[in-house]
Amino acid sequence: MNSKTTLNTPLNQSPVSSSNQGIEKNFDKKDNIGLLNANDVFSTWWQKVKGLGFALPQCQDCSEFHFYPQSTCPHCLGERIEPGVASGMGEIFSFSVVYRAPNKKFTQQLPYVIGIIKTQEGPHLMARLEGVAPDLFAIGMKVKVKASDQSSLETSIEQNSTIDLPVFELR
Amino acid sequence: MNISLGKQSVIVGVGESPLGKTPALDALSLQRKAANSALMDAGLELKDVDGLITSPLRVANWAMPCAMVAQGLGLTPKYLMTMDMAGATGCAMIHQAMMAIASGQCETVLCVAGQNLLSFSSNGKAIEKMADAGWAHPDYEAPLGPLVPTLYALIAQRHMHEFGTSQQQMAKVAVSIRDHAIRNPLAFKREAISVEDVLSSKMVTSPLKVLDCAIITDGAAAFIVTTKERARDLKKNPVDLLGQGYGYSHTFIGETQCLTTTGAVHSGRDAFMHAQVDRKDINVAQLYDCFTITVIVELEDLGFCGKGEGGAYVEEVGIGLNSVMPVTTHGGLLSCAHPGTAGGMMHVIEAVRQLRNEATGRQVPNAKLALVHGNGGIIGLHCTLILGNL
Repeated sequence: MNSKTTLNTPLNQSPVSSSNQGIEKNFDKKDNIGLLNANDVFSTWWQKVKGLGFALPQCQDCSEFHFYPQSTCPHCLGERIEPGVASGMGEIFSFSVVYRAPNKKFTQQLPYVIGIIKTQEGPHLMARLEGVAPDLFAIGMKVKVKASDQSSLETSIEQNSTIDLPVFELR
Repeated sequence: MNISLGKQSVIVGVGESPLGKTPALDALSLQRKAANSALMDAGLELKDVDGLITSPLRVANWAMPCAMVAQGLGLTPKYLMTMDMAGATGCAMIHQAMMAIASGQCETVLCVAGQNLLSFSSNGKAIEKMADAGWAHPDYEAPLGPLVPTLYALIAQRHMHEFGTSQQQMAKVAVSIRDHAIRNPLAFKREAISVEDVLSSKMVTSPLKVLDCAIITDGAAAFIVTTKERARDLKKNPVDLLGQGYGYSHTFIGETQCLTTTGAVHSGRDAFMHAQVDRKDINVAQLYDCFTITVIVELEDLGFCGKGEGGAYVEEVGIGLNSVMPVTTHGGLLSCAHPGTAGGMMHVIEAVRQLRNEATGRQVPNAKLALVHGNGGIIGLHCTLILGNL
């Protein structure tokens, strides 16, 4: 066996795609949008569903929502998972006001509020809480997702990236 | 450990490197010092070691940590393994070592880990590095800007909401564990603190303040596990593993539906089931204390009090040296040392010292049964041991 050839082949092919480039290429394929497969678990859900409003992964077999995105449904192990438009409503399950930034990127935003939102559809997710002074948030308060084009985070975090982040405000 | 077909084994030596800030020592130097200290404690030499278990570093991207440590110590073991259960690693190492011996693969296992987590860069850089190390989901949590303490703050806030746990009760955990550190000459933080000091320390991520959080230090820890036969002619009384349990509930804190009950329920249940002892028989408990809230949740989930009663337990029953079951008597991660996975190994070391009546200045009288609990990640991964000197 010519080991040199066999080794070289995969290396010379386009990169195995943990790179961002690979992910973006995937997004560009129209037929791939809306479908989760094993590779997509590592891509960014919010980027993928941009344009659908607030959408969570929804199993087409049992109709249950879940988050974070998985390749099999955590409720029924179904594999047909697609974005399901969700209400964007929820309540604060827990929160913390952050006074010390993990790195320079976040320093200017201090203090900021990180919450766990219990969505009306069931899944929990981590999000930023905005809109009122940090000390006014409390567990149990009703919140709704802020449209991503209103989010002050979009421009302030990850300036050069396409990551969108869920932001919730009191309703 | 009783495995019917295999050789039974015991803990025969424990030791650590200098702890705190040791800028002159790199990870391998620290691990060598810890290994030598544990071997000396056992009355063994490096040439007696034929099994090696270690865990990955955070300060360097070592490929094959077990191979790096074997090379660094000049070992050619018959069994070697890199294992990583984060904060639960220390507890799990003991059980894994005993399983390796029971299977007949080796006779004497050195478990060793540690690094220069503080001196490698700085306290600030270490915090920054940890915030980006995968404890928060890299796509769905980390970009929001949580610190590792924020992930635990979410637990604390919810615990306060559900059960009325107070910041004073959490502060009491820090004060008691600091009091233990004061009596441990190896501990890094040894100035007395009061509940008021904790409450007025700088807010990091509400409701957790600086003194609710583990410190960051350099250091390495080691233990030696060998067969009961081999232990007979060694220096000190061996310590037995009577029961062990593992527990897993979630990987990321944002995904779990419950923030206040953990996999420690399962690890504790199994450990007590194997050991066939009652909770009231435990003389000393070395509970993983990455944050003050962690200890409160563990007291509940391991069954030392009811769910939601951890705060009141700390306040009324107490976890100090004069309490019915002193907790984390070496000073723990909050005050003694936290260099990564080796931090959780030190809880095992302290349990062994308590059972051998060697914990000078902080010895729990007649300690015959010790529980050790390790917690990995954001209260998602657990290992509980019950050790005895019966």
